[in-house]
Amino acid sequence: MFATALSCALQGLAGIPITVEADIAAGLPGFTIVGLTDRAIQEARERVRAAVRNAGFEFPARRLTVNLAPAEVPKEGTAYDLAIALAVLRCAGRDISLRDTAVLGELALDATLRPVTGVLPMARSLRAAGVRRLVVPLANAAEAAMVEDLEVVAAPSLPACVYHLDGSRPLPPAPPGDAEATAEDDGVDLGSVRGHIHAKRALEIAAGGGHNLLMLGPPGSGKTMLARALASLLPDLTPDESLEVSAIWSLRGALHERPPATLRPPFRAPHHSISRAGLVGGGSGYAQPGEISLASRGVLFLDELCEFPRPLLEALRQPLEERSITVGRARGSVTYPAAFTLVGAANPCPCGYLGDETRRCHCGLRELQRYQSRVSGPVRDRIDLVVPVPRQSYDVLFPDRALDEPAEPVRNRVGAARARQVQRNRDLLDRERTRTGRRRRRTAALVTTAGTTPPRPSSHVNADLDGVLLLAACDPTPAATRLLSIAGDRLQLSARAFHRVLRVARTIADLSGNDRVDEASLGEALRYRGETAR
Amino acid sequence: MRPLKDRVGHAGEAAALAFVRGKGMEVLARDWRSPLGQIDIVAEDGDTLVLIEVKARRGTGFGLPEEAVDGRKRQKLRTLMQLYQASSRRQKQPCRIDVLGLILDDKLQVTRTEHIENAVQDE
Repeated sequence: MFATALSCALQGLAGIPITVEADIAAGLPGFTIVGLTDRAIQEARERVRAAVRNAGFEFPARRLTVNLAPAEVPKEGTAYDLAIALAVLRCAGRDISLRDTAVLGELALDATLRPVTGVLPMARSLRAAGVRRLVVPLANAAEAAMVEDLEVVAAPSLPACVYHLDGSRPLPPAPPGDAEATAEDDGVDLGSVRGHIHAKRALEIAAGGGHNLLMLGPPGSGKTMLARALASLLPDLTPDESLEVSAIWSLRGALHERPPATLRPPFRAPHHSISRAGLVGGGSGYAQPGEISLASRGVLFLDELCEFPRPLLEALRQPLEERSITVGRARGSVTYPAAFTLVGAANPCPCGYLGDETRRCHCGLRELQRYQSRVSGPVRDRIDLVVPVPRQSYDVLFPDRALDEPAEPVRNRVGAARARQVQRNRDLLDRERTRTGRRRRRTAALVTTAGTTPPRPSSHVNADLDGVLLLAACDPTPAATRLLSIAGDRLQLSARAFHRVLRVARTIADLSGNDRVDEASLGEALRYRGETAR
Repeated sequence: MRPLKDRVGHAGEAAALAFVRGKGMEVLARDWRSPLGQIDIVAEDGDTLVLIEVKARRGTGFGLPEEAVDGRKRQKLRTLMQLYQASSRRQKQPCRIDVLGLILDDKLQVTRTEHIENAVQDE
């Protein structure tokens, strides 16, 4: 006798449909599970046996063999429990319909269904493979329902699942999560930040063009608050981007912190004691996505940037360039998206008061140099904006007037600027592609399997512009060109510095609604260079 | 008079047979012997072939009777099952191994029975 049920394995963000086969043979009763399983799946024997009995069904006292096919794909985790139980029950003669249906979930000994991680990426892949219906534990229903064209049913227990599938007590389909729902910590409203006109302008530019930003200032000057305010300035994610972000969070089992359907970009602020694997991804065994992937499409805030060990910051180089991170493993590598906006906050020097108006810095020169060299050249070069965040006077912090400029108009400007640049940059990209016949390097790639469509290249924000495209996008006015030439001479700008200035200028022009980069935009951009602290 | 341990075993077997029949099982063989060993009771429970190992004790001083079935014994029982199935051409029949523990009092009357179904499974 032979029966099957469909479940899913994960390799990175790509799901692989797994057929759970059950067979009854002659011989003494026994229960064996094969198919490159890990310990958790072997332990499923105990869970499934107890759950089936406690659900009121008879566990066949026969020689049972369960195979998770394809057998050469390594499998781990407890998500297969439900499929194994159903396959065994079908094998024992129960009439359960599983046409075009897949099931996921861990079984408790009392037959209730427990949630598992990674349901969203699994659901996407299953749908792409032709599955029309998916049964999941209650807590996983919201994320699974985000996948279009997939009927998701939330089952609280094994018997509920069986009675649904045999038609005797069907369950209703689960609704997708609320897109309006936002995480509890919604960040800081820009209007509640006092003063810091200069820094707020920098935030607007950073949000407008997706630029990385470094804030320098004495302790307690408001850098953290500003970083959180930046996250709230970023425009909403597209539904596709939201799905991508939620898939990564699902993999980390972090969706309880973030409603799956929310369109707000993520904000992550790891402490500087974080491990390398925690930051970029990895870990022993299964390669988990790191903070940079959780922050993809949002903000990665590194407070106390100079406290981060240098090797850790170095690990950011690939993702800052490629907008993705590849984690190598003995059995093949996994690539996760890492299209984050980096926001760094640092003191200008170890004591924190370099450049302060009233207090004097008492750091030695050697100390100062060592401190500033923590952030290496290549990482530094990827930061388009450097802005001082000085101590504010009492009058600024506690003024008579109400709030400063509220966030709404700023957000609107940012949104408009983004819309313009995405359109323009995409046009330029298409034109170049047809001209050269080459495809530009794909960014932010997800591991794909047959059936899942690869994502569009990472958003065409100004921060990603380079080389020829950058110049074409800027199309500087004659006055701007002159200024650029003079500045290049006077300030001894490197090629990278030129690019940085141009990218920022392009965003400033977009914020002002100009097609061409003019002198004013370029002039302002030059102020954000911030080579070294004086 | 036979030695006490023999009399205990004998009383146990009689009680075991009564118990098994009382449970609705049909006894196919008792004290089935083979070169490898012997099976206390072979019975049929519905469509399942059941090999029953009987362990009778006087008092629980030396542990519960069921606990006397150690690893070596279990392996032997598995092999005996295969032998019986082969010799009676019942290889395809669903089967299981039960352990029947009996506690006897001084008068060799049964005071407790513990019937463990499916006590020994496939390795």
